[in-house]
Amino acid sequence: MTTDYKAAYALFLDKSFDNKSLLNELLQLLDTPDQMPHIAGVFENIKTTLQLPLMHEVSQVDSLVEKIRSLEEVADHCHRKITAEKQHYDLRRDENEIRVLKALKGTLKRHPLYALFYLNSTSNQNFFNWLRQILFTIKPLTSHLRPTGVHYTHRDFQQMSVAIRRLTREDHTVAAQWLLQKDCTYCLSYRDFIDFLYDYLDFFRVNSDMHKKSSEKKSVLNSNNPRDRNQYLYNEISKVIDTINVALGYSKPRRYRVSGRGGSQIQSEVRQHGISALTGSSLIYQETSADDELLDNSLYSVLQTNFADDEIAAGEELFEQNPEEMFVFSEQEPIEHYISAFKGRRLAASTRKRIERQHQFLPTSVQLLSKQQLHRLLTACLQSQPNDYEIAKRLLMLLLCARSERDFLYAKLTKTFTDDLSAPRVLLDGSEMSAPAFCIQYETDSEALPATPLTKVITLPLPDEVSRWLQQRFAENPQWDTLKLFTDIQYRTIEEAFEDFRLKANIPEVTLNQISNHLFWRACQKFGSATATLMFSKAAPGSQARLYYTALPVKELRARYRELIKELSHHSAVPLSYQNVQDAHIADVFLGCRYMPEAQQYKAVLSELRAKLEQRKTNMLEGTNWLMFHNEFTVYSILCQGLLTGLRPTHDGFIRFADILQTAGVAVVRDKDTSDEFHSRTIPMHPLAITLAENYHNHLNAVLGRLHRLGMLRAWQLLKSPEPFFFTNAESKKSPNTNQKLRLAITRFSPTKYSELLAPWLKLPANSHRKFIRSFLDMRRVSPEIVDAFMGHGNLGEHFWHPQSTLSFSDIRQALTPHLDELIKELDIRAVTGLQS
Amino acid sequence: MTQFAQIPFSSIVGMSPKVDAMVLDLHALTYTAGVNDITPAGLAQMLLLHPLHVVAVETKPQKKNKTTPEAIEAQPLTYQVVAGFRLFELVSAYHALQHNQAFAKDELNLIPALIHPNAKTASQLARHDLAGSPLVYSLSNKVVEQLTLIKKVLDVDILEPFPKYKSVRTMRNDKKDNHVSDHDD
Repeated sequence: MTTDYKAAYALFLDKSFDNKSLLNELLQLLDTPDQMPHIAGVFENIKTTLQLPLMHEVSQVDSLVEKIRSLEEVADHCHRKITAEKQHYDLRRDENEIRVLKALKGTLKRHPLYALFYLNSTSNQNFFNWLRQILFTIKPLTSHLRPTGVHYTHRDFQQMSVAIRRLTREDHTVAAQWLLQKDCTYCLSYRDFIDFLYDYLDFFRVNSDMHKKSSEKKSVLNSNNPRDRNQYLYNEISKVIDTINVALGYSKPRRYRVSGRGGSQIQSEVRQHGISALTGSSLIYQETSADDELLDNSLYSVLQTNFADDEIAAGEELFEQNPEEMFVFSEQEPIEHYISAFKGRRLAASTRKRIERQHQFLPTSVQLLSKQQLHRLLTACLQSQPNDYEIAKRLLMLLLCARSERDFLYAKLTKTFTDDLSAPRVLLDGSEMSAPAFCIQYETDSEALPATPLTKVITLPLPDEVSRWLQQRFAENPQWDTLKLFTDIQYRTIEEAFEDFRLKANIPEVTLNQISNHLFWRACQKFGSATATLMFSKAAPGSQARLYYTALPVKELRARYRELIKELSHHSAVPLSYQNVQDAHIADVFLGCRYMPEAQQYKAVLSELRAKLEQRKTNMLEGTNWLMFHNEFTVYSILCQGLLTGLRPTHDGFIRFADILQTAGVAVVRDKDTSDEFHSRTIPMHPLAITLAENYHNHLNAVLGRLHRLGMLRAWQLLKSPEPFFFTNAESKKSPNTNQKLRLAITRFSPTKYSELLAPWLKLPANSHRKFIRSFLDMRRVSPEIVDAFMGHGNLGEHFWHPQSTLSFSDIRQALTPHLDELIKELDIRAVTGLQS
Repeated sequence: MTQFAQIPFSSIVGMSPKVDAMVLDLHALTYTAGVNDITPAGLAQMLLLHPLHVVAVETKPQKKNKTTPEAIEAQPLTYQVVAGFRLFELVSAYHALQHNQAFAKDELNLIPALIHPNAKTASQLARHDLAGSPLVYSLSNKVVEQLTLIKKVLDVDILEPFPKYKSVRTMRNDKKDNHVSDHDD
């Protein structure tokens, strides 16, 4: 391609504008031939195009907006130059010749895009304007998104040019029909434009005769068979879509290479996390307890989840997503079987219903131990004969630590806890037990961000009666210096030893699994599955989402453990107590999800933001101050409301005033796109959250007049009147030249833009407030069901918005309001007013 | 000859390009009342009082070989605003808000306007609007006190189309001293 536009430099560069490289960039983006035939038409078109709102992918990046706007100014300058100077007739739009082919004869092959910039259509100008915006921004966007470079070939654009120009041919009646009937007024993003093209393809398929098989040979264009020809035209547009998709970083789904991994490996992965990633967005979940795997009644499911860009940007994890499709297995198979079966069959609705019912009516009675069984088990253990000491020790550890025997395989005795995290440890005096903490699976590595400190070990206090008993055993055990927690049971496995023991203890129906799961299920019931998982390092069946939003202090987990033991003591009528409840030796660290902000952080952010807003308010006239005010006010409103509603920072990220039923104080929100039709949630609104929405709405009304002055009111409407929205590149006055125009764009809410604007105050993922609020409510012992309903979490069939849910709306409100009031006090959340006019 | 007419809002395509940039540079101005503070009826009254000043946009004949003279005749006239920017702004904002609502009313669809034949004299008018109108119409300091005075003099039903006066009243009841509020800037 040419880089030297001598004629253009001579004509366009003057005192008011002498930036050669910028002019060069503009002409190259427009794919201008040396002679610039009829370039005035191109300038006209590009000016109209850039007056439309910039598409979302571009409009949220400051540097791109700066660049596009400055190029727009250059185009404006050049266009004025041509219209003023009378002699440049061959540069003006050829008013007599409407066919591009003739007007631009001789340039089409080497400059394929130029023709598209020149093209004018009476049937659907909007479509071509949006197309031009894509063509103009696609190269800068791609090099911004992937600096190492995806290179388009000349052929890509040549194909595109030919395909699009063919749409405007008069003999191509199907295309002409489509252009006339398609409404292309709104096009918010590249994806929307791709949707136009898909719409065209559908229209084309319906209205023309086509083969079933595809044929890509160009020779078929001249074929007598119209079916061949149509097939070619169809494929041509598909290629245009592929080219545009490259800019979106669209990568084809990775093909999973089956490398002969057997079932045993899945087994261990699933056991560890309760989930395992298969290919991309497919997951294996274990639907029953992890310890049941030895039994025949375990259920596995393969899930297909829907995971959009917005959710990644918001900081959500693959593993917490709700399933879109689900396939259930009752036994473990080698991994290939899962994949082939999953791909081969659709989810059977009845199986899915079975899982839902299982969640709703989980028969916990058969898994928990009865009061009598507990009593017999504990007394038998604590008063056992020397012969049975070893099995009694094992059973006590199984029961109190809610772990299976295998977990204690490498368990050791120790004088003090060290940093060795490989296996469970028990102190020599039997008072404490420590174990590796549950490892939450993330797709990306953790960064060092300012947030709550996490630990990797959980230590649980054992009750005095048990620790005294253990201490005696450790002391009298001749082998104790090997420091193994469990010594061998002579000639027998634990199962055989247990057979004898349970007859002696008179609990013949109890199984080892029941013993090692009892406290775990109790913890699930009493405190929710997140606490149970963190306490006992064992994945609970069902949705993992809660785990990604809960971080609790180790001290709190210990306190909850003591409560469990107290309850156990009460149920079993065996005294289990704690003489001195002191956690002074435990550091103030947390267990659970990463990046959870501390209350102090939020308090500081809110007050700093308020101070900044006040400061800007006093000086609204200067420069772009009110634009910055708008951005900061928007961030403030979203953050405050998010803390009170737990709304996901996707979609609009904000509950608009219009979406709230003010008399009832409820809002209908949809913050997740799944095929689940019940995913519009109705959530109770705290009055302050409503005030925040109202203030924002009033602010927006006041801003509309200013938008009009900026000439962007129409653009705002073409973006479907987003509320909230941000100004991109608001701080644009970088050059000393004070006459420089504003180089702005407006962009609707996106998690990326939101966290970018929040970053000076809080550098954490956009969904951090959800972690904070889930943990905040969990700390205050709000019932897990209520928190689930508030956050939009839940197991399949247990969702609050599920038709069978019987959770009352007023219960949710009553349970939450006092805590939200506390939260408001603690973080000092306040509604502030925005612009008045 | 300048003529008065009721023109459809949709026929106004924007501001005259000659003053566009000037208006843009005034983007940070703040007024006492926003679009929330005047009802559509109030806006309509204000427009009768101060009609928009517009010029017709010259439609250039396109594609000689295709467009017949009849087709040009049939093309609806479009206008550009040369003066009355603030009211134009409020009307546009009102329409933008209405656009969002499914039950949009067809108020303010016909806009009283003075159509100027000569774009040149009209652009002179634009500058005078930008410079003079704020001087003549804006209240100087102690806006709240002055508005309260106006409110006292006028009947309640006259003030109905201007909800701003209601907030003036509540402000007075809440804070009896000479508190300078947001509304004062």
